[in-house]
Amino acid sequence: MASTSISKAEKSYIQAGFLSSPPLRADGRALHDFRSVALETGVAPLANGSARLSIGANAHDGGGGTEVLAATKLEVENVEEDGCDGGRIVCTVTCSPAAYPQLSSNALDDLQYDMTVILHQTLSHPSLHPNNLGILPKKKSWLLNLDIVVLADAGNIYDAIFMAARAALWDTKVPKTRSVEYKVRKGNSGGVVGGKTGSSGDMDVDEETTSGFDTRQIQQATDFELTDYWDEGEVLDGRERWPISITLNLPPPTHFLDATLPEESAVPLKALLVYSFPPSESPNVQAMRILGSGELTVVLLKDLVKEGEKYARELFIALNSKLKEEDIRRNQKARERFARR
Amino acid sequence: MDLDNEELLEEGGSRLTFPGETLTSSQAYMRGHGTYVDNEEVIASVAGTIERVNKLVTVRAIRTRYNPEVGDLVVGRITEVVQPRRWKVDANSRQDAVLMLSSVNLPGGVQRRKLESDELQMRNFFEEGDLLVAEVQAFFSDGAMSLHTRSLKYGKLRNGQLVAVPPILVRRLKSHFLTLPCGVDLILGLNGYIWVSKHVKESEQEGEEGFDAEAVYSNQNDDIDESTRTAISRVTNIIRVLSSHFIPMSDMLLLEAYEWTVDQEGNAKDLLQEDFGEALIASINTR
Amino acid sequence: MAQTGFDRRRINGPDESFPPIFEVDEHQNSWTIGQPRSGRKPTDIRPIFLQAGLINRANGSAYIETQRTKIACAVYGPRQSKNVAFNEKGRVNVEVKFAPFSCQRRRAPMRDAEDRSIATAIQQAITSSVRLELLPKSTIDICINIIESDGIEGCVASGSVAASTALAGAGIEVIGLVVACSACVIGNEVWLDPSEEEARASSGVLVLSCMPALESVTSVWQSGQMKADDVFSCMEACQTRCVDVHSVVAQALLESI
Repeated sequence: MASTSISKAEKSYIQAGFLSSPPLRADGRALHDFRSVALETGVAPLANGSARLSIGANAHDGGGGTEVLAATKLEVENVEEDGCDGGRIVCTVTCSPAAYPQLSSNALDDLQYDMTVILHQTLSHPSLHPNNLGILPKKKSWLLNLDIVVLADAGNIYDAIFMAARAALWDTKVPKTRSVEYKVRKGNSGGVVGGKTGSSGDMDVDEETTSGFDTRQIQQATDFELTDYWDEGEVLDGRERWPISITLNLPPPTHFLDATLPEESAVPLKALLVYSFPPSESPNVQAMRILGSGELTVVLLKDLVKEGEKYARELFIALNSKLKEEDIRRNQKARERFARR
Repeated sequence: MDLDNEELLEEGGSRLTFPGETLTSSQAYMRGHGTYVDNEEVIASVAGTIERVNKLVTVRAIRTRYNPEVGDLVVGRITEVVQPRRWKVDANSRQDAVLMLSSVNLPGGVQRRKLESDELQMRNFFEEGDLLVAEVQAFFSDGAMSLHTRSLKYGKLRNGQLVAVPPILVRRLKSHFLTLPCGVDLILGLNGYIWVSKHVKESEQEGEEGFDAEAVYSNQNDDIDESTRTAISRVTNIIRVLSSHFIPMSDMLLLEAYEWTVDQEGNAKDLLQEDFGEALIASINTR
Repeated sequence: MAQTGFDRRRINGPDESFPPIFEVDEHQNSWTIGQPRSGRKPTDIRPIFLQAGLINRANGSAYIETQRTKIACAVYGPRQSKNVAFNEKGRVNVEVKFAPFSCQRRRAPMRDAEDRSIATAIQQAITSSVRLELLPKSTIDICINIIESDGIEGCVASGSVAASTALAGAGIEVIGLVVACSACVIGNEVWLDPSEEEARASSGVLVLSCMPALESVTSVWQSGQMKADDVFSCMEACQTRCVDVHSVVAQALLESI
């Protein structure tokens, strides 16, 4: 969250706005108003799931807001080498230098690293782990790479990153696989046992040969193949659990949401809270960080956690309805394209 | 695409061009900014509108960095305090502008500079991040502007907030200090930085004799009441809407826009919505 | 970089090596989830050994040991900021380095030794306590060396305590001593000061850094899945416990004078 430089007079103008009653912000919003959020899924056709999110962009020309691009890509890995039985998730955040022109490349690296750590520690926690990331138990599994690119930062970058991550994960489809096992054919001495796919040995047409591929028994599956399917795969499990974050900026004694860059410079203390709303349970706190220096008490923190949950729930509901709309819109588009063929 | 036809190069007409397009023969016309001569032809070097004044052909680019002229009013932000008696100011131009210590009003008016602890004294006037309004005095040989604040109208800015718009939308007007009837002052910097603040009454401004350094260089804002604050937010949002629709700023336009939004009886934040902004633009165009 | 991991200043081990797998020691109970905590009560923290003034060259230093976490901290400063930009408040710079033998898996000296996430967590915890407005244009460098680590939360908590002690030992003006305590949620119990296995088996971990003398909180770091009520009980438990840790720190400082 690099802040632009701001003069003392501007800082005190913004802070005085929060102290007045009723509290007034620079652009006239209420304390808990978000700027308009625009979301589109399926923006990267080569990725397994993707989303582009912007907060506060000018409706007319699309510029000037916080813009984040998120995409997931699935790779196969061996469990013995790097993988984890049941799959794993790795999150990375890259900041485009155009988003932070005043930072040196070292400072940009540090910023990227900090954002990556927060995102990765939260999303790769076992409590959120989806259960369809394994392929062959103890042998092969999916590695889900979630890559976020920050294209522009006009304040409130963490909320944008988490929302985009949730949208991309919602949109992710895992290719369907089927385990295969290669059995030694009867009568073949010293034939190839287990292991490699593809080679079916010599095809003696005279002999009554049974196929070397027995796809029904998967206990000793040694490899897998992609099934032939018409869609991009099955949806990543646990869609409802992916969390979103809410950043509460804390000018004493109130708090406000969705800060713009000057507001962030004027109010350095903020609390980052990440909530997940599983469908039939009470909400969970998935991560909490305090950023910036200032005075806090446990009582205040408790209030913030409670209030934050309310805001996060509203944001969650709005995001969900938009994601469902996007699903419908893209299915519609696909159907139209198919009909036109 | 030779433009020897007089009608296409009429004075006052505007035709768009792109870099590399031949405009005319260089025998008849002199080339101006935004063009170059090659093989006795005047060729455009930027994408923009062609302007012709008598025998001079220039091309003015639409989206370009601010091109300063002597006498321009600019709003800038101090980026650093350089040791020997000068400040570097970011004025949204190709280079940082320079503000010399000798170009600012010092307390007392008579003293030029203090000899001891120069740097600390300088920070008492302007420090990093401060906003100021100044006039372009001259240019250095490398093209950097030299600013001065040697008038009571110029100096440090307070009691308001900054909006940045593309520099081309701020035209050269008679006065860049505008006052709206809602109690809001506007300073339209020609470099695209616009300062929206609370109105300062004429009578409260300092006279020549009682030049009080404390007041002029202080960072203390005055108390600003709620209605002024709301008005400032409203004006800021109007400016943002106008700039996103690429409409040049002028005091009449801003006044109309402000009255229209007040008539709508909405909040200042309604201007952030797309449809409200479109309605505002539509209403301005019809008048 | 022809070969990764080839460091010609050191005697390199074989390219591929793995940590040895030991037989389970007899005295180490193999603890599994569901069993009550072995060795201490849920709200007990492990005994802390803290000594200030360990490193003579540094302006201030501290060494902290809590069973399997051993951290040495050195404070250099305040000294002149190296960057040219003027800042009217001082800056605090925290660097955390792991010794190669500190974790289960060896950390290569150049590549894996630094850990920025722990550094930012400790910086967040102690920056609010230092009176930086008295130190314009200066930087305070805090170097934390982790000699043995028992989980990241333990490192953050103990590191913050060590850093705060070292700052006080260096005579830098602080508004209060920062102490930190970590907690985890296992089942529906809150356990304080979890070891690495306990933290990994838990559903969520929280580290609270506060200044008990002023009853204010400087940082909260939480990760994992917890209900809001669990978060509150963790924070309260940590805060109560921090008062005890604070008296330990105060005593260690007074002894070193």
